[in-house]
Amino acid sequence: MKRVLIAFMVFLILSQSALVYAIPTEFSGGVNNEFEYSEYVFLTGEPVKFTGTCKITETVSKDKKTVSYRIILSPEDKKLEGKLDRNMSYITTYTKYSEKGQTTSQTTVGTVKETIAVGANRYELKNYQFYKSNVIDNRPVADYYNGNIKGKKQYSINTDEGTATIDISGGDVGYENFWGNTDTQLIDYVITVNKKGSGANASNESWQGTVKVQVSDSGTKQLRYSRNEAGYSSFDGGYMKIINREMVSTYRYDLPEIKGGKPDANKRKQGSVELSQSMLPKLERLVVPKFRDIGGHWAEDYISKLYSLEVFADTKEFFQPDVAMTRSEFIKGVMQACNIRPNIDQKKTVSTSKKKTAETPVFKDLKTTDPNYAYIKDAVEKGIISGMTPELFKPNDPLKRGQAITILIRALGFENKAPTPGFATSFADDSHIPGWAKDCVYVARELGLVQGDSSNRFNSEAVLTRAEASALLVRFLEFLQKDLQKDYRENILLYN
Amino acid sequence: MVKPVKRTAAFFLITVMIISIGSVAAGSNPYLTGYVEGFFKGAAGQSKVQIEDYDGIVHTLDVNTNTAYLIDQREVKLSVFKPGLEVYGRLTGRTLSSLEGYSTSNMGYIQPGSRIRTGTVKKIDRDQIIVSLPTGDQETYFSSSATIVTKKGVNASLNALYEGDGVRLYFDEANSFMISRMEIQGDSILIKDLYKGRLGVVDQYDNAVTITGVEIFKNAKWQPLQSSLRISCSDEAAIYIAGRKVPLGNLKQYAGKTFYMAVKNFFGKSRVEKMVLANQYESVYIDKISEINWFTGAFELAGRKNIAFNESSIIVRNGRLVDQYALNPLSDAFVATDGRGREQAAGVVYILNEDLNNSNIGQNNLYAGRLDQIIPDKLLMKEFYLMNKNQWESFNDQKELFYDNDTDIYDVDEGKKVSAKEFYTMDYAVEESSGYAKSRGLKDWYGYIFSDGDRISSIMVQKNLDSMLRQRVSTGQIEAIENDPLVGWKLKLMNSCDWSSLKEKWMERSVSTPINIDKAMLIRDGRMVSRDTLKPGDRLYIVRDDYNAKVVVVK
Repeated sequence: MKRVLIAFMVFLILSQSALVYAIPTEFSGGVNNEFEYSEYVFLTGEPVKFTGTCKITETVSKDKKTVSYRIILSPEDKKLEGKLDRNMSYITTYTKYSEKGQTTSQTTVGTVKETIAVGANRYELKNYQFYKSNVIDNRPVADYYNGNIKGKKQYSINTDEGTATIDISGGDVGYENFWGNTDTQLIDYVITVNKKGSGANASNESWQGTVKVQVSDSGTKQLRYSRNEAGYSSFDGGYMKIINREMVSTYRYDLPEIKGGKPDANKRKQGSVELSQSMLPKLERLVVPKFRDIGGHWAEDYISKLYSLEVFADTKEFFQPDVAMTRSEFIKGVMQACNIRPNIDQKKTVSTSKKKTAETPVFKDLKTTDPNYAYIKDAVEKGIISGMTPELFKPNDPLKRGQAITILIRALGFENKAPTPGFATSFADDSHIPGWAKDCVYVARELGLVQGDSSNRFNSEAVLTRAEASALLVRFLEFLQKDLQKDYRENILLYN
Repeated sequence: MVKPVKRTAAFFLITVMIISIGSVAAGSNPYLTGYVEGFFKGAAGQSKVQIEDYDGIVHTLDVNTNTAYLIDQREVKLSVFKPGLEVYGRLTGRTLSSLEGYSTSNMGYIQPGSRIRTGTVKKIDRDQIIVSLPTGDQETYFSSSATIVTKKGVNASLNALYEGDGVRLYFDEANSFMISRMEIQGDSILIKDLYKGRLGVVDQYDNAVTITGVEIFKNAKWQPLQSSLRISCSDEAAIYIAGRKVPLGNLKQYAGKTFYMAVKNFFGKSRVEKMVLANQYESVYIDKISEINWFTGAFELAGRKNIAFNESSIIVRNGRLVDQYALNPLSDAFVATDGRGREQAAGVVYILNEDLNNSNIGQNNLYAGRLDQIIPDKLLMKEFYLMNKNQWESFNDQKELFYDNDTDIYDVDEGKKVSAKEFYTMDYAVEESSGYAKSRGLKDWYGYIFSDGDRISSIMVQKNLDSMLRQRVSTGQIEAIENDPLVGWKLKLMNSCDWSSLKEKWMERSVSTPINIDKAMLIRDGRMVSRDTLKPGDRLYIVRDDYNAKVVVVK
């Protein structure tokens, strides 16, 4: 009974967590929020907007995920009679390649049932073949993925008046990290309708049309300051985390001109229709910083944000923004800011449950009792850091600019985006950038994470103060929140 | 005595030989030179590696935990080295301190098109394009005839580019500024509407504001739109109060104040892109900017009015939001100012100027005239007109233009498209004095031509010449379009302007203008298109005779 209860609870948790991840609803270009789902249907040769409800159920087992959609819609135009009833499920199986840090997935269709009625026509889905395959690159702070889609839907029209076929091809691209996730699908439909009227009105009403569907589901977490309205309070205000989710979609169609229900062989109708829906934002208030020495400092906002996120756990009165940031503190900051914590906590739990055995530290100059040890160890395991030498980490050494950038780019998993060796960065002091940092410095500049000083120097050996490191970390978080979203959504949808 | 001398000589010779042999051996002895170069053979246990030098001698050398392993300057583990890799090792004492392998054959290579820049076009000067990047930097890039240009996913010409457009540029080399591919942002870049209204509720969780008493800028004046409107703000919305950029959360205390707003379409919904507080009193001017003083940040209108501007001013040109540096002297503008007395600051500057070409990259021309001679691939025009500064300029001369199979040719009298072969085999151009022409009563036809350089992109031919003096150029935005069963295709043009040759300026119309396009040549993206492709919101450049359009270019 206990097991059943636990299994049920796990199922519930997994089902709910599905709402958090941004993945467009089904593969029809539809968008939804908590109240309404809408999509366009083109089977009649006209774009017809349907609205209604969509219930999504997600079950996850070890290497398998099943997503079921129950969609019941009616035309938005109340003058038009119709109904869309869809009961569809998609099964995805995952194969992990741990040594390569990658996962592949295969998605096929499970349950298939769909009927669409528009005016006098009734389309019943007779056959649906669907294949989707993705590769997911699991990097320390984010997973990036890219996939391909191929499918075919075949409907009967009014039982025996003909067939309608939708050829589906396209792909999707996305990412997922603690600060946001986006999935953008670019799908082409080729619709072929072979319809013969029945009885005395029998006539050939065959046509072909195309629809380009671009749909994106994106969620972000943003930090926003909220002022305390009361004057006699122990704090002036603080940051909150706002979790937004938005779905947008565009259908660009090229269909025959339909006159009196019949397609015109010589005239085409081209156009586009758009949809968008937003979820109600979720709010999360964060702790309030009370440092005495950051008021009016140029980095006050950055430090406050990071403290609110518990990236800096200092409980002392003085943050000391102009003191050098240590290597160990920065690693912890990066790991905390990107929420790479559960892994560590989990490990801690496991180790306490077993009999204690003396652990060999990953570096000779580190003790396993060091409060930052778990973060450093995890960062080593994830390939974010490798130490000053194979044996020494030098945790209390001041953090240098080149080191900080290398850590951030490795955390993103972007170090391979640099050109093949033998290139020069565009910084004036390129020759002073050490070989181990060059790839990351080049990539960071490309991403807009760093810029040169007034003389276009990178200053790889410059020591970062706690304030400067805070500013860099906040910019890094903005990259995870906004820059990735823009690249995976706006830069794809608004330019294609 | 002879023997000892012999012995000494022999000893000397042997010594010399040994030393010389020793010298040769030292050349390939890593312990003496401090380095070894050759090929990696493999690891011999945990603490030794084998390297075969270029002489073929295999050296077994010690390594320890401090040995640095690199391949092409990138730190790696020893296990990454494969036998056969060309290496260079440096020794400290009898141990390798570093071992570097060389694997990359194409140094500094990037996947073609993998270097990307996204930004806003700030300036276009022929093949040079200055782009503002999200980092705030500006960079100059170069286009060439090999640059592939797409807009809305469809191949386009560089002429499609406007200042203020969003672009995504692709480069084939790591440090190259030569654009290999350019994607131009589609209609989402356009400012859909300009609003004015009083600020009500600010919802910083949803990034939205509620505005009351909303007015829309239409036909050169603010017109009532609706009493209350809730509208989203983009994440990057620029909100200005007294010339200072502020976050949305700071707007609360300005409730009840009037704001100007530039609004874009974002997937079917309106979204504020820029918002400026109108703190004092509004004045409105429609005039030519006669001079700009960049030092004081002010321009002077032809009516001698000085108006300050800065980065907070909403400046719209060609339907796009542009920055203050895009202002040009001699531009005709609608200006809504905020201030009192002599102190006026521009809240909204709506530039009326529109040209046939979007920038100086464009080579498009409009011609009208008599078709004197048509031979395969070539047309000679006589007594032709050229659209110059928005008015027809006549030339009593001949003009040679070229056409091809891709040229769109439309016979407006017959209402049909004509092929290139029909164009020169039919009687659109005849020798009027010939017996053939006289006996059949044939005369040369006339045409309106849209050209790209000297290539005819589209030509509309008709039997008779229109009165060119009656024709004028107008611009505007389609408010509505319909196919009237009685008069054919007609549209309603809002925010329209007429070019005044006398005043040499664009004159804004205060009412929407009806235009008949049934017998007009319609051009979109350099090609002739059908009337049903026009849609509300399209910006047009029109050559018209009264209410009948002759040439319509979709901008």
